[in-house]
Amino acid sequence: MARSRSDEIPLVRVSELQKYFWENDSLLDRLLGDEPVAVRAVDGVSFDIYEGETLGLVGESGCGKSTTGETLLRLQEPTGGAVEFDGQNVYDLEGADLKAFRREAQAVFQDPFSSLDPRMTVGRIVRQPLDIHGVGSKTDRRTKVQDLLERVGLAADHVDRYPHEFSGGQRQRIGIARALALEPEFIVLDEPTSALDVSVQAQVLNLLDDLQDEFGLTYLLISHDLSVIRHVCDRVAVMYLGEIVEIGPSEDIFESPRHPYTEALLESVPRASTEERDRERETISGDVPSPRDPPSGCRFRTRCPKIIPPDDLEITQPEYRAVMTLRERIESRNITLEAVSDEAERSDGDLEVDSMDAFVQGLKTQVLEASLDPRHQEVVDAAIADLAEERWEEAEVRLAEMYASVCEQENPLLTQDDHPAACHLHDPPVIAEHTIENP
Amino acid sequence: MHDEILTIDNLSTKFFTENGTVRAVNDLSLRVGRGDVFGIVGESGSGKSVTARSVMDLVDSPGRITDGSIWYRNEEFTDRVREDHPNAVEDGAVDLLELPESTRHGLRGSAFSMIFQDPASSFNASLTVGEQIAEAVEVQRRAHANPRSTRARTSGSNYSLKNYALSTVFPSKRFVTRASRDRAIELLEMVGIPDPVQRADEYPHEYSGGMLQRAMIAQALAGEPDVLIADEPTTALDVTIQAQVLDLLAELQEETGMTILLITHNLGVVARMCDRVGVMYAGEIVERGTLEDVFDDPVHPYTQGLLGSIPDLEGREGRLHPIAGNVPSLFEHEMEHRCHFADRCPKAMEECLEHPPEFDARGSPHHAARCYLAETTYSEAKALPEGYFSEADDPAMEQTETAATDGGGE
Ligand SMILES: Nc1ncnc2c1ncn2[C@@H]1O[C@H](COP(=O)(O)OP(=O)(O)OP(=O)(O)O)[C@@H](O)[C@H]1O
Ligand code: SF4
Ligand code: SF4
Ligand SMILES: [Mg+2]
Repeated sequence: MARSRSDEIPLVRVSELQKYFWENDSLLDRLLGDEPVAVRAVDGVSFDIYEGETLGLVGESGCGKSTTGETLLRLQEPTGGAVEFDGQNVYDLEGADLKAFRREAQAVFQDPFSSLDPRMTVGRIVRQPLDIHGVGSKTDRRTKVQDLLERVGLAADHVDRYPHEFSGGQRQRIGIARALALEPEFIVLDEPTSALDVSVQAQVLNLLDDLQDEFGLTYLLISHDLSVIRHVCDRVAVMYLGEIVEIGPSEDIFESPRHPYTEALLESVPRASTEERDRERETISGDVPSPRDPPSGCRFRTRCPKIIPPDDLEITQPEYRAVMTLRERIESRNITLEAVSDEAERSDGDLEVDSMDAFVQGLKTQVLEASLDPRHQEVVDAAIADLAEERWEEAEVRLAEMYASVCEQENPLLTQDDHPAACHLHDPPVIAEHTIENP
Repeated sequence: MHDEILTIDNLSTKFFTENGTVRAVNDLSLRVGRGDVFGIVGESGSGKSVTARSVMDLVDSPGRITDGSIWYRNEEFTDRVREDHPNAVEDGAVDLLELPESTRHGLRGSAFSMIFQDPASSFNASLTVGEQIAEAVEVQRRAHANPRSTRARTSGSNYSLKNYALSTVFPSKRFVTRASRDRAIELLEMVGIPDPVQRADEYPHEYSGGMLQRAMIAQALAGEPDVLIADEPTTALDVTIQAQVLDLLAELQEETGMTILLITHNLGVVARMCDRVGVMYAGEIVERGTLEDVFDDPVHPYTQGLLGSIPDLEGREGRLHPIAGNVPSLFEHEMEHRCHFADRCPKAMEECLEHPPEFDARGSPHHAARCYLAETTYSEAKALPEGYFSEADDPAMEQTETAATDGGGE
């Protein structure tokens, strides 16, 4: 479906959508004086979805995909931003307009085992939206439900059975039939096949494809499975820690990814082919940081294998990555000193003379992931010597002066082109000297 | 073949439930070479986990191994049991199912270790991770179960008065000696936990999913096992973390030479990690062989179907080719004596109504398939009439739950 989008009006327009959850925000917490903490689940995402297309939203667990989907459907209230559906702001809708929106925009969720009420017959489950919206006569509804069941590959006489009598794939079909009941324009599919076996997943993906063609549906497909995303989506948005880091046509995202995180995701997926064993791949280290306290600047910088060193610094990427990880740990005070001191004492017998050296060497083997060029060695040794005397801040400053990256100072914005990516490699910001501040 | 560390012959494991007998694993045979990474792949309910648990002797009631042998080949162990249990020994290997429970359980941790999909389940939430790994180290040391261990030489001093005194200095770590604790920290470091000294003192909930998975691997390696059984070790992890954990397992395998039995439903994980593969369906291995045999030249229509259902990351092809229907019921009274895949098989023939034995297949000498197509070619003349199986039972919901026939992929 390659058509030009620029002059089209999108069906869904998401602008700077933000959803924070607040922790420590109960009355008791306030009485105790605990500061509320924001979990920045969705932190200013913008994208458009055009009629008839499938937009994929991909990312690792906890990056905010589902919250984006739910907030966009107004199943949750946003803490900022707007969503326009058919030209109207979804969060301003009331009464009949809101009801109409609820009809036009539907959802199918991941878990076919818990998203269906076990006490209701399949017929009632699929009919429920029709009842709520008062569509047609009783007989109309019954016929409609039977049609829907047949359309999703079940039998019309399944109406009187209960969800537990069906397999996972069949339950997902029931969920899809329910979502179709009100003839919506738009469906959010949140991990619709994640709980299914591959062979059954293929059945459901084919069904969704057919339904889209037949009813001209528009989909937002949320998934962590890149193969599914590639197979199904026309365009893809990649999320990391509450932000969209790259968005563009599926082909471009998979064939020529621009953001280091997208590259890492694609590299990481093991291919089901005999060539997989010999495929050289670069994996990234570390875990996703907490959305309670996301890294400054680019949120991917704590794991990025391409993080940008200062202009005038000569350093290899592995060295720089290692130094940056060390800085991260010093800044979060995430290093234990006692064990190394013990070790230094033990190996030396006497504390005095050589123990500082032993400490530095000992700690370095624990906390530094690469060996360094002598020039950098010197700076890092000095910083570690600071740590020996628990002068954390001095160690921080010493390293920051030499190694501060543009990636930690400025949050990169999405580029303004037809394959936007939020990375300084593609949009080098101009940084004034004075912004390099001491921590 | 004498380098087979593990040989399973005709294993059957059943669950005797109120609703009937479930044949979770049926007449299953496989051979695992020393130092191999052997993958067992299959869809939900095919019996992968029950196979693993059978090897570990971890099948819970109402389940029981009802038939078969599990041969473990380790010279020292064979020598050790030969005297007391001569019946269990044959040709240098020991049939674990002929041993008393206590002897079998003594193998846990030292000969066989297992890691699971959900690492939280193998840690106690109220003890630190370091303590729990140190305890595993301690148990192994006490059992002296692994005389090959390079660590064994230190075991004498572990129980010295000094160590005892030291261990009482840390009241919360009262069962753990300094040496075990050090070893635990070493293990944590080996699996790539940053700052293992500090991390050892943290509780499981303070670890991220990927880190806890690493810690569980550390715990499983405490006894330097011969065989590591990994049941969906990366299924709960994100892809970037999955890649890290798979790399870690491959590295550890290379370093220690241990054998890995890797259970997964993810064909990509199998392709990345395994030398040999067994494909499970309805409690049986329906096809096995080298990775190339199974992925590049599959004989069994189920294997072909499985490979055809995965969307390709490398390109957007047209429609997917799903396997119609769903996994069959495993209730003994509902299973007919036919190929269990026949009701979903696009090539079902008359002979398929007779349960197929395992045939040699066309690939490497290891290639075998439980399907007549390994021997004969398909011909339309012999095909079962369309709807053969759906006539017998209403396509709707003849059997409930697992038995339901899905609407087909069209
Ligand atoms: N405790 C039990 N009681 C009764 N039946 C059981 C029990 N445990 C397993 N089974 C049955 O044994 C069969 C095989 O189950 P198993 O857990 O080995 O499948 P699996 O291949 O590991 O599936 P998954 O991919 O979902 O983990 C299933 O039919 C299952 O229902
Ligand atoms: S902005 Fe810097 S840290 Fe972020 S992805 Fe780009 S290079 Fe990596
Ligand atoms: S034995 Fe027959 S039914 Fe079974 S997989 Fe082979 S061809 Fe199909
Ligand atoms: Mg399992």
